[in-house]
Amino acid sequence: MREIEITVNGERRREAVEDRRLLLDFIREDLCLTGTHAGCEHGACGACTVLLDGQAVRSCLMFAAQADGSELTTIEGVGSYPDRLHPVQEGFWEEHGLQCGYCTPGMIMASIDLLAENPSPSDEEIRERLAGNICRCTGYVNIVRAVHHAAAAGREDQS
Amino acid sequence: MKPAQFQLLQPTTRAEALAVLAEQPDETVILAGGQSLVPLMNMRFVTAERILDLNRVSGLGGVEVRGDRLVVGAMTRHREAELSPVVLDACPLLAHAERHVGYVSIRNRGTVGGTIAHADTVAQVPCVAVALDARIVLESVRGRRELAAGDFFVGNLMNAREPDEAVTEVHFPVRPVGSLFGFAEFARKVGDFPLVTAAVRLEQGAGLSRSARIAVGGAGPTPVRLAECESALEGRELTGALAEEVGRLAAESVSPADSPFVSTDYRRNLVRVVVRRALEQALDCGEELR
Repeated sequence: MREIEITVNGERRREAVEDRRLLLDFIREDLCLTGTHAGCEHGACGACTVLLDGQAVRSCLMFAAQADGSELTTIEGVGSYPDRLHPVQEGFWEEHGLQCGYCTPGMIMASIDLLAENPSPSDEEIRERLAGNICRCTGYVNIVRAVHHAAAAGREDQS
Repeated sequence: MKPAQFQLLQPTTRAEALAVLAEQPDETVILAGGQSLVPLMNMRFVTAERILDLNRVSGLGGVEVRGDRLVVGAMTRHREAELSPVVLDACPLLAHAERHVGYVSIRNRGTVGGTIAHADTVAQVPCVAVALDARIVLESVRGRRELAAGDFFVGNLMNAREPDEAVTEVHFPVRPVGSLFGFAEFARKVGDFPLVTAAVRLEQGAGLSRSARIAVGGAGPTPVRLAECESALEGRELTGALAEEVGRLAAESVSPADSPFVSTDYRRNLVRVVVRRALEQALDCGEELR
């Protein structure tokens, strides 16, 4: 076991972890932040996507000990229902960008990462970027609309 | 889907890392970006007593041009190689190939040195490395040596690294002025493992290809240069018809293994298609130069 210190959603956390503890399991089981979902656990599905020092990463593909000293943002740090939804969450709400919701936290983190880099993505850019996040319900059409919705809201905010 | 127990070693200097590796080379697995290794550990295809994490070692990342070489530090993230103006200028073929490596969230962690050491025959960067005759720098407490990419890759997921050595740099030749390049792959979906990759670079003189380099990945245990295709291009002007002809020649010159999901014939056909597409891209970048 080793002590690590991570800033999680703006709050400093000190925890003891085993060397083999995946960042994903650390988030879900040690921090009890179960919004980050465990899907395939080998990097294929994107359900466990979080922002590490502002960049989207798959939390199942790194160890908690490697995140020592980092800043971590999970879906819980993005916004909250009902009054403080993030524009991307609003987009998924308004456009019905989810059905069962399992992929949604990862989709939202990946979409936030995309919009931070490209505030007005095309359909193709959204589809290419979200190709790393698998959804088995929606057929993706409403997810693409949700990202456009969030992008438009972001542009309105700017003007 | 949880990795077996191991001890995580996190040195901060190159000398310290090589010393840690030298202590017990056969029991130590090197962790770079972890985007291939950690899945293998989660599935317990890989177990190790000691994991040597290079992520905290200073001076192993970054790109710079030294003479006629683009020097890419082993811990350079794919995303950095993809977006770096230095890479785009010195070795645009590498920058283009990087766009095909996994997804952005994979490229944010995965590294150039890691994909080279992992030596997957369908990986994009190894294909470029073989096409361009990149040099792989290996370091250990015993010293430093360089291997040509063609000698470094010895089989699928197998390389010529000694157990106490680490890949520390990859050197790509700087693009000759006016040369044409292209990279194409066939994958079932964007970001997924490709079935076949192709990388080409043509040096031009008076509208003709003076020298050609073509490599394909996924058609055998390692990416390979296709000498016959290269000679077919040399001394000729690249056209759509020639791209088609060389694609057919490429398909004839490889003998991919049959697998339950991808037959030999199908993969051979994909080789034809990706070689043609890579050459068509080269043709397009020729149009831009005119």
